[in-house]
Amino acid sequence: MVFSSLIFVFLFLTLNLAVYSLARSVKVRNVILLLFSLVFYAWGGVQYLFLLLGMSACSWFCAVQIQKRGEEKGKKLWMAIECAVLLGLLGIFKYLTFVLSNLQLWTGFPEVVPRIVLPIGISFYTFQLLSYVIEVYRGDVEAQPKYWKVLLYCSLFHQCIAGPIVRYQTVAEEIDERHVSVDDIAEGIRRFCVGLAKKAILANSCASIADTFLENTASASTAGLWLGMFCYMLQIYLDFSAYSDMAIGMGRMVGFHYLENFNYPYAASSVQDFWRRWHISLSTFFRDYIYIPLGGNRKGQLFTVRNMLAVWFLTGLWHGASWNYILWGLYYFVFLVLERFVLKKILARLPVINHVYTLIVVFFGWVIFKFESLPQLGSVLVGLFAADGRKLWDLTASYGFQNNMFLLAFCVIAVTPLGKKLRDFVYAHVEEGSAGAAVMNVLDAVLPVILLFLSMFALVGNSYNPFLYFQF
Amino acid sequence: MNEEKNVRRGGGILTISLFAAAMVFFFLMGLLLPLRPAESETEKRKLKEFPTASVESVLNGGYFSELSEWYSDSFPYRDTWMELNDRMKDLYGIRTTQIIQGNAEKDDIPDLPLKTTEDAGEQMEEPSGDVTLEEPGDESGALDETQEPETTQEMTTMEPITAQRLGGVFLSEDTAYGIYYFNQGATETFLTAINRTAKKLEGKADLYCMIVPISASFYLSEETLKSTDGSDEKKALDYYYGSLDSSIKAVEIYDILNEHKNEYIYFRTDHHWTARGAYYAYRKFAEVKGMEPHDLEEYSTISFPGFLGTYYNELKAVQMEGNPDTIEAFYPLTCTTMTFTETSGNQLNWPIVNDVSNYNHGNKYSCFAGSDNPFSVIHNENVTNGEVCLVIKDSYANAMIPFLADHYETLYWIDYRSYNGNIISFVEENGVDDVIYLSGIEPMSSTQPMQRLSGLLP
Repeated sequence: MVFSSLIFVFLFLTLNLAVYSLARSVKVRNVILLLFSLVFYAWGGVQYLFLLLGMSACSWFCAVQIQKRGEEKGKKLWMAIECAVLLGLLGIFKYLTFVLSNLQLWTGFPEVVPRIVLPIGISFYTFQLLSYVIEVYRGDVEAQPKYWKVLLYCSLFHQCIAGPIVRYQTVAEEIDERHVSVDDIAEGIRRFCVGLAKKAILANSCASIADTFLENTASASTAGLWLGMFCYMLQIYLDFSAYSDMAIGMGRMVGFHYLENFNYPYAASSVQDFWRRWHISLSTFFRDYIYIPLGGNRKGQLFTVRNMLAVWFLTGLWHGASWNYILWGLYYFVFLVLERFVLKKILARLPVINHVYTLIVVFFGWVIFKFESLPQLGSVLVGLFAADGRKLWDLTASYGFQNNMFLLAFCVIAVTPLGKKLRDFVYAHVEEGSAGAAVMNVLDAVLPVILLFLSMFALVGNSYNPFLYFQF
Repeated sequence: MNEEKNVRRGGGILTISLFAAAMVFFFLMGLLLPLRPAESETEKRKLKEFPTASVESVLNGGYFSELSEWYSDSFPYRDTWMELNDRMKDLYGIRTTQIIQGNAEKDDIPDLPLKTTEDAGEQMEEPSGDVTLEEPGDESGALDETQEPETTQEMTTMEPITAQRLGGVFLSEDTAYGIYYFNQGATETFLTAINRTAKKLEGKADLYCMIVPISASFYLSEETLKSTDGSDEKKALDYYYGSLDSSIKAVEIYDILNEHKNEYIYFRTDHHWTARGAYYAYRKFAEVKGMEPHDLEEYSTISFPGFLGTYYNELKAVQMEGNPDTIEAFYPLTCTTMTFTETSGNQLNWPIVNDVSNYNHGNKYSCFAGSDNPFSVIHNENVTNGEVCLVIKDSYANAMIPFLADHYETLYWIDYRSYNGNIISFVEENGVDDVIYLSGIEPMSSTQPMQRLSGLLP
């Protein structure tokens, strides 16, 4: 089930919130959340539910064993078992087809490459479970004695299939004890509706413009490719951050406080800054569990570069089993190394240019990210610079822009912190109890429902509803 | 700033109440099964039906994704919600001129005509791929219940071609134009089939070929046409007609339409021609056949205003709504009713020009000749020349039927997109004198319909 579908919003979520609010004890509430989450996950195919159950069971068991062992050796053993099982399964389901088809290409073996369907959300929940066991191993959190609570943590429908990758320690206490205030719920509702509209209206609209140009890149003009990639750049942020918004919002409604996953990444002033703002839960995962354990930057420049290479190779690989994602990770590795050793000080002295530079790097990053076929990627890169004799401009590009210019302008504003700053500004300048405060409160109450209605209109006839991060 | 000093945000209880009310409202609406529409009038399609489960589809999730699709596709009042969404989309930008590229591949039009010799014809185009032979008497044969002689031995049943994406669309102010793409493969399939048919019918019936152009090349400047990136329609027509077997009588209507292009011969919101456009094509046909056409003034007419056709449906442009098309229909001089056979085999008598005043704004082109059915016929008692005509057609022919009806004792028409049967045998068994192939140029660039046509002409 995807969040941006009518059946999720009006049937599943409404029922979930209604039943949840009838329950009084936190235990019953947790059972309700768990049952709904299992149904939610089974929606993508009942067979994959067994995988989720199995991986959670393994992690639960390993964590308990680690806690029991006093000695380092036993802990290590169970940690290794956990990693082998989870990464092994992730490897089989996500990367085996890729590895074998490359092997076949080079050696001719095997003759038939099995097509393995990627279970929904496996990349996300594998990492959640891993982070849980690692935290237990490190002694940061207590192992959870109850299997069903580990399952609840990992399968919770708010974040199970599209992130954020919630650390166990973030929610460990809230699983057993959580409180919601009226303001929490209202804020959760606001966040959820903003996310839904962001996805259903803005991201889907950008996607459909992007597709007009990027589905058939051979016939698109240079201007068309730029416009298409520009829309794709908007789409991928709006789409992905919308899922995080909805997850955070739904968590808030029931008392979970998930950490922010995006912090206006397109407002970044360097590539390093971009990665501190983009998919934060993933970058911190790699930082805490790969980069720092490898020694981080404490062992000299050569080791630092090696550690960065490992992180960015894996970051690329995590996004998909295809060469372009690996290339995309390494592309960022190059820029991050450059910034660390050369550009950092220069960029700090170039206030506007550093933003422009960052956006350009990110833009071409998305070009690499977008095209899984390397020949197509090559032709698009050449085409963006009109170096292959394609038309510079065509009617589709100019009308594509003209027909959607207000939407695009709105999206550009929506990816910046401007709206949030405006709201903060107004709230900072109205007095409690004044008419201004009342107006703002009414606006805050009415806006989510308006967004809900508009999203509903957009979703009802929408055959076009891509879900980019399903596969990651 | 200190948290406590901040003005309380978020609207609190009011936010929760409004949100809860809206959610419950739509939750209940979603449960009201009788309110769920079965088909969409504006989209002219059947909506997703409630799926049936199988072990496999439950295990792999296929069942649930169909369930989700059903839930939103048949949501109560969906056409209204979608219309509101279209109004929101009007705000996306300046939408007076729009262009939508078709998803078809565009081929270059060859300079030299295609040679389809008999031998090559047999080898080149075997439409076997999607033709399945069924037991005779299978219920899917369209003509089971008709009294019409129907004796084809082998029933070839093929899936009907349902609505297909047109080529591209170019909208300028309140008028939309198709963007035509030439497709070599589909064209060769067509030419091979029709030239093969010409050989088979030689000495038995006259075969006419009439291809209806779309409006773009009459009204758009050379420059605009070029920039829309379509194929040259005129060149394609020349290629088609130049590649026809010499025994086929080409009814080249481009020039006569061009002469009358200042009249209302094409709709602005729909891809079809108007009845007036069809009338001039009918005059050209009369000239080729050597018969006397009627003058336009002789016919009595009826008008149906408020027509918003396929282009409108695709673009939903406000400016089109402000200036919808009007359908002008001409009554045949000598007959009023026809009989058609639906895909189900169901047979109905129907007015040749039907009153569609109360039809939905998108369905008004169906006033002509009972719209699109696999098989239709007019037995005209007021014509006694003994002549029998068969039109192999798509929807463009519908507007032409009322004019042809005055000239034949029996006029059959077969829609190649939905008919099942052997047309060659039909011609032989029913003593058909004139066979007219009449289709719009756009679907002829589509492989599937052309293969289907080829399958009907074995």
